[in-house]
Amino acid sequence: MHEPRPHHIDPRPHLPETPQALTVDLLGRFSRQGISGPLVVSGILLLVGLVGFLMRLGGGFAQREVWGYYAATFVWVLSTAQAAPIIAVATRLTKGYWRKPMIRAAELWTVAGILNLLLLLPLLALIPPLEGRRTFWVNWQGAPQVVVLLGMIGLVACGLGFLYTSALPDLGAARDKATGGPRGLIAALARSWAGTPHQWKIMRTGITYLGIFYLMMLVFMHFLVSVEYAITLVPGWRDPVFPAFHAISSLQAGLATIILTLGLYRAFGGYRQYLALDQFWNPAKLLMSFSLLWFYFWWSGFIVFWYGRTPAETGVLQAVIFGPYLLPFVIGFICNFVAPVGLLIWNPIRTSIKGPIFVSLIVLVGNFFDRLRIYGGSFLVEPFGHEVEHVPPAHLPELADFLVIFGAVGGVVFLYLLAMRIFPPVSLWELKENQILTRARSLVRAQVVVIGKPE
Amino acid sequence: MQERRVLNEAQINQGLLGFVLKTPGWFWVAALVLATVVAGMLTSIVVMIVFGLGPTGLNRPVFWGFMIVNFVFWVGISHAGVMISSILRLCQAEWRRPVTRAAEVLTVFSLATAASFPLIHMGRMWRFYWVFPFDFDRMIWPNVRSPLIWDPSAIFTYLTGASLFVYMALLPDLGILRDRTTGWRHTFYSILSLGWRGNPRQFKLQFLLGVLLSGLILPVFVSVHSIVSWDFAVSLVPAWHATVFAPYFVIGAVHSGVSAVVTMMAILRWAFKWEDFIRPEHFDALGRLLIAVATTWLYFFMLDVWFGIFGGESRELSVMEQRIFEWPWGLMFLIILTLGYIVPVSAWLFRAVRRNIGLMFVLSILVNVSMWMERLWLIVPGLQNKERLPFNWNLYIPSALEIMLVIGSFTLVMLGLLIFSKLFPLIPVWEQKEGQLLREEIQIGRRRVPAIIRE
Amino acid sequence: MADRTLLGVYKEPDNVADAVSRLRQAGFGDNDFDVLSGTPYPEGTFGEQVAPHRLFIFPLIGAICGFSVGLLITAGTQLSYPMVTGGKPLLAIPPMMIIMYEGTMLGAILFTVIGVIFESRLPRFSLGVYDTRITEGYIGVLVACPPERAGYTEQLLREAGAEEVKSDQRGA
Repeated sequence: MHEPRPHHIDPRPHLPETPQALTVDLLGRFSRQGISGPLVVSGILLLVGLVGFLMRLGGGFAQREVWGYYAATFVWVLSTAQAAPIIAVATRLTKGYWRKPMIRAAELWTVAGILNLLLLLPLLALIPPLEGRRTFWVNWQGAPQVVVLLGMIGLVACGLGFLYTSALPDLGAARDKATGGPRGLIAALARSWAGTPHQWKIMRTGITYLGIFYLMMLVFMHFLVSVEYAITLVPGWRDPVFPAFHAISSLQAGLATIILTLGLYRAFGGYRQYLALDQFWNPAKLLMSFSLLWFYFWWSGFIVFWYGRTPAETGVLQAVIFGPYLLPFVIGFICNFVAPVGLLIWNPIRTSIKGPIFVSLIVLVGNFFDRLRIYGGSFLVEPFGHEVEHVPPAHLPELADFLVIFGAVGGVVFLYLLAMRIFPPVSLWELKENQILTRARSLVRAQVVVIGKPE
Repeated sequence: MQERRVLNEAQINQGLLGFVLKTPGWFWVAALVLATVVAGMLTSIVVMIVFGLGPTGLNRPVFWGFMIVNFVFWVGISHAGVMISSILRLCQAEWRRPVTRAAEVLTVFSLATAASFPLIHMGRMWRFYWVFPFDFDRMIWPNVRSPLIWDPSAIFTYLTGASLFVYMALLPDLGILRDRTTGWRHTFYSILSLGWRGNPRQFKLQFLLGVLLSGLILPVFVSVHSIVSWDFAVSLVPAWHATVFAPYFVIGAVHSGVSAVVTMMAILRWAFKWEDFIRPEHFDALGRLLIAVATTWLYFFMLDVWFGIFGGESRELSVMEQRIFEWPWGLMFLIILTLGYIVPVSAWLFRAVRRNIGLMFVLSILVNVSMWMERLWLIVPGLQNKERLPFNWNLYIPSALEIMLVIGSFTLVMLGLLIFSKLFPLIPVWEQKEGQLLREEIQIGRRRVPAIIRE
Repeated sequence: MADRTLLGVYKEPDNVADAVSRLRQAGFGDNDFDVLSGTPYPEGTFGEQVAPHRLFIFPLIGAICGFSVGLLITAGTQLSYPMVTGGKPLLAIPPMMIIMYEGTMLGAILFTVIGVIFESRLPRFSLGVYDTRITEGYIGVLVACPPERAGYTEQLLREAGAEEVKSDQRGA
């Protein structure tokens, strides 16, 4: 038996009947997708962001606190766009059958890593020297910079490899049948794909491993970033759960990113019939549990500090929660925990398409403010000594900060749209496999679906 | 994956209820042996009632020893049940069917055993009811700011919830038993089955019960072990005062608990000859789940160790030094890492190992040996005070009494499970039948692919 | 006049679906008959309709009750005998939240169980007309009808393929 579904919304997507019709339909959509407009707009935003970036760079690296918004933006992209592919990994590993129409939308977000790799570069200069502060690296000068950079490169490379491997069969189809898009590039990328059983086997193994590596790299990057740019900068902050909180909140925001992306696919991308309730309702359930986990991990850290109440601990709470960044913290708390749980707990909201999209938007905003209070707060205080001696007032955003934030949003969207022109944005092979493995039939008087589960 | 015979409902009844309806000779031998050891445990408790905590190895400053370690360990085991049955129910994983009830019953008995240990440890255990707000005359209430009050509230909630869950999910099977028994047993099952008849409405609500209670018990299950961890973490004892404790304890609990379920499933398969119901594919699935769980556990374990060193506080460092380099803790550290992660996970990576029930049985026991040791390793070294004034240092050597209590706790849980399995089927009969009903095969080319029916 | 209850025992699900359609055609409403099985079939397998339930209200009420009790225990007891311990405020919110949380969940769980029992219309003190083969793979169709239609109904159940039809007033 199944959880009750609402009868007014059709839970399952309506796909063309045969694999051939599906290919024709999807490649037709791929060939004539009208994304030039958004591409131009996001490109302009990216340029605007570049201006902001140059302005910020002109100010130099002497003052760390002015880089707070920039760092928060970088981590925000890491936590949202770069975390979105995890849903593709996780649903594949758990064989969630509702994943099929949405999996490529998630995988395409790996390209956002290219922009974030560039955003990381100036931040490397902001890691303070190792003398006189706590660090993992003992006296190995330059280690944090090298490791963070290598970690990021690894993450991005792994992500792009993941996307490419998983899209290979579709690139083959696009090479053969698509009429639009950069056909030369597609042909070059799909060069040797012929779809032999051997190739399929390699491809499947490849996406499993690359997916798991991507997840592990992402968790590792969250560890590095949260340690190097937050914990070590605030004296007395000994918070082992913090990297885990950072990673969990990122998975939550990644889920929100993918739900929002699917909403846009459905509203503007012309994929309405491919994305039905199942593709919103199932992620919404996950989003709700991740919102609860957000609170749980935050609370695990908080209650120990609140009970401990040593000067070092109250100093940390001042710097990143109750001090100058209290307002962003409260916004983040409401948008990442109170609102998503409070809304998604209601069946009519969770079991809908608009509800989860709306909640995702809230979560994405909340995640930015949450990152802001962490990195804004950590960049404010002196990293040396045993405890936070003094928390200066918050650094207010300047024009450059706004430009950078908008530019980052424009930049990741720009990259995503570019990738949409190369990789078919709905996975053909996953859907065709679904068609082969799924049969509708009746069991006495009930209509049921038979889902094949080959090992 | 054609490993299973197709059985009709009568055969399923016979296979699963055989032990309930007929008593083999070994039952009495096993019950007698277990009861003898439990009697030894009860004797130890009587000794403690008469002499107090004196006969134990507890001393100043090591006030918490084997009994608390054992408490944490059994609370951990109790997490398996609900974690497995709830998560698998919510994900509608087909392979949950033979696992759920056994896991839930393990929860109930291990939690009850765990709960008895703080009572034994109290010294004057007949005053345990002081944790409740009962004293209206003198108006002396429990101190809600103390985690020692949170503990009973959490365990009471969890024990109540888990027991009710087991009972409610038993209703259809009690109906089956009522129809298959005569005499006093018929009366017994008739009363317990509440007049269950098995109409569509009752089954629908039974399903909703599974969903709702799973959803409600999951957050409780997380809170229980978190609260147990806060018994330690909200104090200022070095190595205990770590923010990661709550999720770290929870995931450690899941690690040991799922392993315990593997142990139990193997024993059930052997003892009750349930080859048709508990099959290698179930061990395969549990093994894969364990890889993920163990890796997450390792992540939190490393976070705890890293940040212990990272803080650079001398109190923390002294405990860490002791835990990693000094006898016997250093050896335990190695054993925890080797038996808790390296050996089992590298073995579980191989499908042949995951499907080898004997090997899975051995590995699951190794995991629990290491997890018991991990609890000891976490709890005792922090108390030995090997840093400040030397006259405060002390070692902890458990007395024979405490060892008897620990051994007794294992037999107590086993005896509970044995008696339960004599009275009720440990595999849900009706769920097994449903699984059989929803199982199909679809023909794709030359291959027959196993499939399941979904509404 | 008391209704009579008939139970048709079937081996095949198809026959049960047939019996349900015949009963409908004969003018029986959804409340007049019921299907009994030992296995949960997917909803609507026999063409039966399950009356709506209000289970989801129960955990909500339970949660509210549990929360209130939790609040009473944490805040009420501390206020009735104000004694500061551990340097914490008298009404320290973080620890209070933990106990209120457990109270909320306990209330929700208890009320869910009560709700399931209530909505399943249990406990039933008498099984009524019943056949033990139902828990062995057979499926029963239970019909309540006025005594004068009993013969007709029995005929109808048999025509749909019942192996046996039982009645609460055998030989009456």
